[in-house]
Amino acid sequence: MMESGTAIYVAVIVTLSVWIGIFVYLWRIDAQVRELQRRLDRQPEHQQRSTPSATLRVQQRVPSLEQQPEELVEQG
Amino acid sequence: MARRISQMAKLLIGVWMAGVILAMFLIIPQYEGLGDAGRIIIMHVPTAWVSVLAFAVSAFYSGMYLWRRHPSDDDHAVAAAECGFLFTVLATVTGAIFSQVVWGIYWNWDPRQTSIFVLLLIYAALFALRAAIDPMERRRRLGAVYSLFAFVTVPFLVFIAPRLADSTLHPNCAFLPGSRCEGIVLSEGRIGLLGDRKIQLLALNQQGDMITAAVEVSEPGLTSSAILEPTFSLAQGRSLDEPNFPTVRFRLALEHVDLATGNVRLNIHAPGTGLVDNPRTFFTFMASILGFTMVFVWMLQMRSTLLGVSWKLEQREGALI
Repeated sequence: MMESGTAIYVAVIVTLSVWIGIFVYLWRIDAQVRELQRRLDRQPEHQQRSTPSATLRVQQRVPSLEQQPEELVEQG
Repeated sequence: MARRISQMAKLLIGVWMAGVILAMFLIIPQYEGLGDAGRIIIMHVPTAWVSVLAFAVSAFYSGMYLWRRHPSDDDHAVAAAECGFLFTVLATVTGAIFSQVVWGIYWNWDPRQTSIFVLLLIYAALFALRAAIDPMERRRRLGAVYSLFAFVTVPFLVFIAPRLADSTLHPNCAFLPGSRCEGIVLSEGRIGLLGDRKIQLLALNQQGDMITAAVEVSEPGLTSSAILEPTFSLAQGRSLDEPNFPTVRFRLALEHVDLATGNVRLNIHAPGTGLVDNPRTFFTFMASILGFTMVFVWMLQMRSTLLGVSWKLEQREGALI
């Protein structure tokens, strides 16, 4: 068993270490969150808008759809 | 400039809490009867208070969300509820450690422990509810309504329910001066109950300005009894000797003597009673409350920002239904 004089210093060191660990963890998360937010705010507004990606892909990969919409309607 | 102030404030939180930890172990005196274990109060009570504050903030932002429908209000409400849950867990764990020292057992379903456990379940259900609902608007709306209802239980579970129970071991009215339990008033030969102990005032003896009461204390179930002799100083107007109850670390105090009527007020003092009467302990205790509150505000701001960012990312990637 540890003497009480020694034990209290051990308790101080352990508790301080735990707090320093928590503090560093919070500090790093805080910095990362701020960086993430800064990057997001820098993005142009139109890129942030929610757009169904499926529609985009169809428009990009099948250019014939834009050229011949009447044919599609007839097929449907 | 604002960023610099914010960074400085966060550094201050780090240094402040480190100071509280140092003061907790090295500056405040040992508490009589509890030794170094009593120091855990500097962490236990502030975390419990901050958890109540966090749940109140969560309820406030939930109400704001239902009123204004701003997603950031919901982010704040969720972040505050999560912080409240975390601080409640901390209070429960530190309380269990304290309980092991004082009562000899980590968990014994004392009314205080049971009520805090129920509170944890209620807020755990909030997170489960939110996780179970996919449409974001519906999740936010139902979460806000649930959070308001959950907060209604907080004052009852934290402040009222443990005080309704007679047999709680938790020092309910122990810490702040002027907030002690009421105790019981007895005259010679009369019987009363203190907690779950039967108390009988056998005799009062006066020597100078010192009054000694002979009190028979019976264990629950009347399995055994003992005679305790608490004393009271008429000159100082306060109790002096406070003998321990048999088998538990509670003290019997003679708090008031009325010689004209022959009535005395007897009370049960739990370990921790009068702990913050000492100025160094009191200021460390207050510094700890302030420190934990600052940590909570920091975590709230960070977590709500993170929720807002992840919501924006989800929107941008079109992941929402």
